[in-house]
Amino acid sequence: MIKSLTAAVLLLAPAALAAQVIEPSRGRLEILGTARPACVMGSPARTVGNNMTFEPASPGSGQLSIVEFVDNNAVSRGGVIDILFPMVCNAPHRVTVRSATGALRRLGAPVQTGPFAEFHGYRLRSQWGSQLANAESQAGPLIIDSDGARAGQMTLSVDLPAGGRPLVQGLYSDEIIVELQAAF
Amino acid sequence: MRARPALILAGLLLPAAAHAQGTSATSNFTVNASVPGSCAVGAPLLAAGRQVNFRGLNGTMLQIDELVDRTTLSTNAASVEVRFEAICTFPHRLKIETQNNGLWQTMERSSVPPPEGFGNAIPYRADVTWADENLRLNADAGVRRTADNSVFVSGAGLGEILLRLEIDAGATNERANAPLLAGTYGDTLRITLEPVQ
Repeated sequence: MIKSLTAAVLLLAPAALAAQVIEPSRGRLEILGTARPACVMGSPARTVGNNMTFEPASPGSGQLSIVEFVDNNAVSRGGVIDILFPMVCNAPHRVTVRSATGALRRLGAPVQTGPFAEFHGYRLRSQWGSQLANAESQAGPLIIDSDGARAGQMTLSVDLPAGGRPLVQGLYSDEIIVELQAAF
Repeated sequence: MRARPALILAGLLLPAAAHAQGTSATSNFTVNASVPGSCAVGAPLLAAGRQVNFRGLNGTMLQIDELVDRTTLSTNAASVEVRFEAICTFPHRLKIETQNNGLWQTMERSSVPPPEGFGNAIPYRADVTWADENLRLNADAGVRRTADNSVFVSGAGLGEILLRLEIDAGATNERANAPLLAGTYGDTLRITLEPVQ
C-alpha cells in the first residue's frame, strides 16, 4: 500500500512542478537629482573700441578707460566700446545693466560750475541672443528678460556722446553693474 | 486516504518484530523532497563606503547631492554602491533595466528640444556583480526609452547583488561639459532575478 502510494506521489510531482509559475523577483531603485536654476557669468573680455579701452581686472570685473575724454575746449570727444560677457543661464532669467551714479561724475567736492558741468551721461546698449535693449545711464537700469535657458556672449556697448557742456577739470568715474538673475 | 492506516500498522508492528528478532536489522527508505524554485531580491541598502556626491538612500530613492557644478552648470561626478540581499534556488537570468536610459528631466517632459548647447539628460553606468557574474548597463541618454542587459547564471545564488552607479563629470546628452537645463532629473532601475527552467 505504501509503495503504491509513493509511486502515485512521484508521478504527480512533475505535473505539479510544471503547473507552478515561478515569478521573477525584482529590486527597484530610483535615482534623483536636481539642477537648480542658476546663471554663471564669465570674465568680461575687451574688444576694439573707439577712444575707449577695457582691461579685465579680476573675474567678473574690469576697468573701462576713456583715452581722451575732452578736447581743447573741455568738451567730450565721445567714444564707444563693446564689452563681451560670457554668460550661461539654465532657466528663465533677467539681465540688468545699470549705472551706479547715473553718469560719469567728477570725483571730489562739488564746485561752482557756471557754464561747466561735473557729469556726463552715456548710453548703454545690450544684446543678449536676439534680444536688444538700450537705456541712458541716468534713466535707470537696462533690463532684458529671457523666458528660457541661454548660453553665449552678451555684448554690452558703452556709448559716450561727443559734445555737450564743457566739463570741470577733474577725474570722472562711474561704475557699470551687470547682474544676471535666474528664474526671476 | 489509505496511507495513514498502513503507516500506523507498520509502526505498531515494527517494535514487536524487533523484540522478537533480537538482532539488528537495516531497512532502506527512499526519501523524496522538492524545494520549490524561487528567487527573492531584498530592499536596496547602501554598501559601505565608496559614496561620492550622493545624499543617501531613502527607501528605494537614491538622491544625488549636487547634480550640477556651480561654475559650469554641467554635471558633477557622482558614484555609489548599493546592495540587495538576494537568493535564487534555480539557474536564473540576472537582468538590469533602466526606465529612461539615463537621468532625464522628470517634470519638464516636452517635445520641444532643449535650447542649443544645453543638455536635458545625463548618461551613467550601472555595474552589477552577482554570483560570480558581472553585468554592465550603459544608460547613454541618447534616446529616452527603456534599455536593459542580462546574463544567464547557471547555478543557484545566495548573497548580495552589488550595484555600482557611476556618473562622470560633465556627462550630458548634448556634449561633454554642456550646461544642464534646470529641473529634476531621474531614472528607475530594476534588477530582476528570473528563474530559468
